[in-house]
Amino acid sequence: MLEIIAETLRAMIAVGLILAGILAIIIWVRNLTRKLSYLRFFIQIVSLAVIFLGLIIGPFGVAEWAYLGSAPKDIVIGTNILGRPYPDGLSVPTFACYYASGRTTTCVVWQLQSYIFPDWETSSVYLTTGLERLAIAFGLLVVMSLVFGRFLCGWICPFGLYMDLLTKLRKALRIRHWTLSERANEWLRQSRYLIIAAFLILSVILGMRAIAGVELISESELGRYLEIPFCQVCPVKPLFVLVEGAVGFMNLDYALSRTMGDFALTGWYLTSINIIILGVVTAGSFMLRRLWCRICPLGGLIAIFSRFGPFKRLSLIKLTKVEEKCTKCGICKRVCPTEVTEVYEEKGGDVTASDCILCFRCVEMCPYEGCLKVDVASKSIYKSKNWLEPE
Amino acid sequence: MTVLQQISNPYLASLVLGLLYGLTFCTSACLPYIISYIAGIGAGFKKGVIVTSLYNGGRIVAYAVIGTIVGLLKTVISEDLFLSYQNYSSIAFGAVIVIIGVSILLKKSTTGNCMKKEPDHLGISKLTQRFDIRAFSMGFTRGLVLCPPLVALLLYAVTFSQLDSTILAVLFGLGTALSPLLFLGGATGWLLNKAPLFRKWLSRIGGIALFVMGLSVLFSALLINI
Repeated sequence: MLEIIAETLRAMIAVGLILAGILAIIIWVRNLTRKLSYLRFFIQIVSLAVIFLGLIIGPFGVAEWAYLGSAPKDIVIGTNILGRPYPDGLSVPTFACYYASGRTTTCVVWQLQSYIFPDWETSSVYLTTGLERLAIAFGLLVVMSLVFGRFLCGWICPFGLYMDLLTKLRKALRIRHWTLSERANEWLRQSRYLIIAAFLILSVILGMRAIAGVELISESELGRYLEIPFCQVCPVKPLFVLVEGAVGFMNLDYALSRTMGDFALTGWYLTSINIIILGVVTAGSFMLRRLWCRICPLGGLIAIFSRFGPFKRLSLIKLTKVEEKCTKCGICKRVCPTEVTEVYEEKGGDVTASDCILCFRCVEMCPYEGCLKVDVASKSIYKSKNWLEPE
Repeated sequence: MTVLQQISNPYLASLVLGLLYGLTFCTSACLPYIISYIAGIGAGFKKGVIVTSLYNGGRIVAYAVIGTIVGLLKTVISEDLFLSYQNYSSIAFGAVIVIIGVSILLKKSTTGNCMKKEPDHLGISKLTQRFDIRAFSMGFTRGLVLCPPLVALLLYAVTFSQLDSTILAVLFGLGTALSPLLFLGGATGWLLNKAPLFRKWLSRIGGIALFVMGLSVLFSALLINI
């Protein structure tokens, strides 16, 4: 009984602290921004809480894996699809990192990589085949990209929130952000497709061992460093593992002990490379708004299934512009966190760019009534307002 | 192999054998060359698929030639002859890859030279542009290097008529052509095309990769000869 009370109290304190944090931040930003940014920030925090719900509601002190310490268990959604067990739960095209504790959904990049290699075959954990699981993960990626597009990057992604917090810290320190030249920005944006191409080829090469039993690279056997390759360089994994380790939800000694040794054997919780990349991205994101979003291959994947070819027509969320109302003031270009120029340069109509994270900061800050609009299934749900003249 | 054992029709069996190996060995063996070539020429999705199809077409033609020769000879080739044939075909393949790699690298350095184009009334240049001879020759010479399943099929084909051995080899080639290579070639081309700022570098990397891989094939074949 006492234990239940203690756990309830702990959970209440955790929730209370989070709400107090949200309130403090809201009060802090109130005079600096307008309603939509306010709402976006709130949704980002709620999304983070939902994605890692286990951290808030527990059960606490229950060790799922002994070496991880007393981590809250995952509360994974969708572990049973039409009577078929799906132990990793539904995937979302956002960085709901698999390696962190207490998650409710799983990052689609992890699922796609893991199901082709090394978890291709059915086992005591996976009763479905790799092909079935890949089909579900890929199907969810396509459907969610069409329905939400890169709205997931702007409003849901926990790593996006991390970068936004770094931006807020920079603003608090009154440091002006850097602006990249258009060419440098374009280099960053285009590099994401090269990253996707590289991992596509790598996945096929690695997948051969699992699918056909042909090992093309000698180090690609289970447990070696090429296992789930993108997660070995992803900056999100070390962020969550380090944060959870710092607050006592994960055994950091264990994770770190696996980092310092032979790199080839450190491919699970932390690797030397992804810690370095996290450091670089953190330092970069402090000076450049949403730096990772400009090269993020997951964002690139979402863009492929929402902004190109036949998918573009089917995508639900669009940013539209009424050319006649635009005076080319350039505010939209300046306020854009990923420095997208299409909204400013395009002549009108659908101006959603593949690099746009649909944060709608441009719509919020555009001072011309109805010049920029957010359309969901061809219906305008939000449009720019004339905030220059008092109502 | 259980699937193959259940198929009594030899034509269907060779097609299925090709499909099975196309999914695994062929994809892994051909992927580095195809991807490097696609990167080298800066192909998009459509051209990537065309290039991969032509490469596969080259392989099918090579299989048809080998099948016909085996059908004509009607004899099992001795091990020595087979090994020296493998060496010479590897040398041919390596040389072709090196030439293609060099041609990609040289083309990059000569771009910008304005050449006067002759009027094309018959549309021949359009046709030759579409028919990428380099991709075809790369596939043709790759097909001439015999892989273990094809060797097994050819040994089996000796017992059939001349026409049948050609048909069996072609069906095997058709099976291997229906591999993920087609999709991968197109998808990679499409993705690389989304990064035009990197095209110059990708082209160089593709050319260098082909050159190095070609040299490696060439030297390993020549070293065996020595």
